[in-house]
Amino acid sequence: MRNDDVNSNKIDWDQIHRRLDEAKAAIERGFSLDPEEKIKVLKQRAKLLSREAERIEEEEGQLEVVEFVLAYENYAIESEYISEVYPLREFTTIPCTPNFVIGIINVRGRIISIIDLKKFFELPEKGIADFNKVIIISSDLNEFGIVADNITGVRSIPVSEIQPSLPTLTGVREEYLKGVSEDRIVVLDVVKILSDPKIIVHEEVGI
Amino acid sequence: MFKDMKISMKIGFGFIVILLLAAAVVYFGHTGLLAVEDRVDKADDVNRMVKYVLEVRRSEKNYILRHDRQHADDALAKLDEMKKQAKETKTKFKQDVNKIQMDDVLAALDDYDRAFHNYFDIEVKQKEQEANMVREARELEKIAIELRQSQKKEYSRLRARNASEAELNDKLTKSDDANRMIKWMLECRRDEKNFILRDNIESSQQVIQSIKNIINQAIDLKSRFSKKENQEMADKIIVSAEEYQKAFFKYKELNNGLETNIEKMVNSARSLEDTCAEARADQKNKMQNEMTSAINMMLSGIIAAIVFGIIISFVIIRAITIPIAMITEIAKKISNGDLAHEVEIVQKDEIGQLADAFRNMKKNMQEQAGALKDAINVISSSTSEIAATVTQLASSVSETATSANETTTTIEEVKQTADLASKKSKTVSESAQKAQQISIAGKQATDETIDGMSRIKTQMGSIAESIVTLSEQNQTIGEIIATVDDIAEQTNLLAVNSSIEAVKAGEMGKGFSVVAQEIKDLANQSKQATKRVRAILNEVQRATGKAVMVTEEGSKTVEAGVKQAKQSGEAISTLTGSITEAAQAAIQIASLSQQQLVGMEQVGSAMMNIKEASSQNASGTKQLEIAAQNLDELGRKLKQIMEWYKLEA
Repeated sequence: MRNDDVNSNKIDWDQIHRRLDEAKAAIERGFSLDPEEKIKVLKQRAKLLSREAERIEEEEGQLEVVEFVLAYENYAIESEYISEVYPLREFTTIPCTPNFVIGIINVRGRIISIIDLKKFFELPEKGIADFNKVIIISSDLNEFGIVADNITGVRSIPVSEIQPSLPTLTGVREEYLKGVSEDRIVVLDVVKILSDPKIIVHEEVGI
Repeated sequence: MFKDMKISMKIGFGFIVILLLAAAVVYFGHTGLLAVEDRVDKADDVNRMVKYVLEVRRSEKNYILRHDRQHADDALAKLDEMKKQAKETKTKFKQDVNKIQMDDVLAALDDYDRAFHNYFDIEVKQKEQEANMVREARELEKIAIELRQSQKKEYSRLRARNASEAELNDKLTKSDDANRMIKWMLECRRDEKNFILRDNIESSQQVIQSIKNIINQAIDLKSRFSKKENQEMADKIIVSAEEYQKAFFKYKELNNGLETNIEKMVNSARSLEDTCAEARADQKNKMQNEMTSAINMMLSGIIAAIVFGIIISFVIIRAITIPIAMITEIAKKISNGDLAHEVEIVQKDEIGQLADAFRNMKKNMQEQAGALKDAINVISSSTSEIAATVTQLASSVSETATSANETTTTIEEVKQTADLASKKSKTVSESAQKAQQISIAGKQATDETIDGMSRIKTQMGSIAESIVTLSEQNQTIGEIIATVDDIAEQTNLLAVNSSIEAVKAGEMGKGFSVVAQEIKDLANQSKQATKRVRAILNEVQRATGKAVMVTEEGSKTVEAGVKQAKQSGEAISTLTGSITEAAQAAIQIASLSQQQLVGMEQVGSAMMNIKEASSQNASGTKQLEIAAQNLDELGRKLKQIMEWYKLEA
């Protein structure tokens, strides 16, 4: 019985040594791939490259947008109005501001206020917010940052694809929406947001 | 209070009272006796004075009769003594009457003394006169004799010469006259003696007559004498005769004084005697009075003492005897076995203590009697048990007899078995020696095991160390990966920004837009890679944790193994000791089984003895049965005796 146990628990030292040798060899190689692996990767790349190139859309019908994620929903803003995206590292809260104003940040010497679109749109709180990116939008009138959970990337959406907003949507959200794409990306109307008097805070607090 | 006094105190108290009474009696008696003694002393003094008076009188008489100086001295000495006595007695007397009496006595004594001295003086003078008379008489006689001789001579001479008748006659008458004078002188002396002795007047007259005759004759002769010498002789005779006469008269005169003194002496002596007698009578009277008073006092004291003594002794006796009688009554009851009565005396003296002791005794006796009763009950039940046991014993004895028979046969079997055991034990001792060698080898093996185990333990420790180092390096890798991740993120953002800028550049920026896209892809790939690396790192961390745990367990196991190895080493050494002992024991068993054989034979003979003993036991149990019956009877008797005690009222 005990003998059997010992046999079953016997350590295969040869195998271990072999594995160690392999690992050591790999490190010495500087993590360069095996010739076999290399061939494999190359083949995969060739396969990818062998695909038919995507058709470039009509120039007029294209809307260049930056797509971002906010509370598990995909939104898009026209790149035209975006000055840059910036990682949100630290911000300063400001008292006596509406609740959608999170605070202010310093971007290379410029002081920019940041707002939470969810609160601005009076959307119900849902999920956990990452808030680690800021999209800085600007126009002649105004400049402020919108917090986003993640930046998906820059893409171009054909204008024809954009459908008007859903009739069910009412109130504030309807005002600021440009439309919804086929991929269910909500395209925001930045001009309206930028020019909205609500967003300009002009409040005095009695001393 | 008297009740609580101790008996010794009570008796002592009684004695002290009686002693006090006796002392009072003795005191009164003593004072009475002292008074009587004093009185007797005084009476005695007075008596002595009476005696002295008599003695003085006797000495006086003696002296008067014998004229012995001795008696006079005696009388005087006695007188002095009496005086002293009288003075002494006077100081002793306290009453004035007696003192006056003594003064009288002293005065009388003085009178007597004086009279006696006078008497004595007179006597001395008388003696002198007497001597004078004698001397003169002798002188006279001598001269007369000479005269006669001279006349005789002359006569004879005249005759020789033949003188005349006349002359011769003259001479004869003259000598005759001288003779006559001598004769008168002798008569005178005789009468003088008679006078001295008898004191009669005739004698004195005759003396005076004779002297006168002598003087006349002498004068006559003188005238007749012619010779001068004869005349002278006659003168001498006359002178002597006159001297004699003078002395005699003096003597006679003194004699009268003597008598008056004697009379005085007698008177004073009488008064002395009277006074003394009076004093004696007085003293006697007083003495009798004192004696009677002393006797009366003593008698009354004795009576009072007796009465007091009787009362006190009665009280004391009652105080002692009544409780004792009560206790005696209870003691009698107890002696009759009646323990129900209570001693009802509460005192603090010895009787109280006795009563307490009695109470305790009674209580103890009650308890003991109760205990005895219980004990007797136990005895009677025990005796019946004993009787039952004895019958069991009888059956046991018969069983013993049969068992003894069986045992004898068994012993034969045991003998054979012992022989076999002896042989077997030899083989056992051999195998034990082999086992000993094996166990020594086992011990060495376990020691080596322990060494190996400890080495494994240290190696385990180094393994754990290495793993931990690995884990720490993992952490460094993680940090690096985080940095890479961050870089990828920033790269991504940069790509986005570049794209935006490219869009802003319009047609010119299209190419740049593609590059930005590529950069974005690369950033995403590196992000994926970091994710994988992180996952792998997590796995590695988990694996190292597990490895550390496993090594820890391994080290524990090794420790347990070491412990077990030690234990097995100890067990093996114990085993070695045991085996050695077993080998020795086997050898001993071999010899013992030999002895056993011999022993078994002895057991066989012993079994025969047991058989005999069991038959004796059978008879013994019969006797035991009888004894048990006797015991039973005794228990019943004891019960009856206990019935006699009466414990409760």
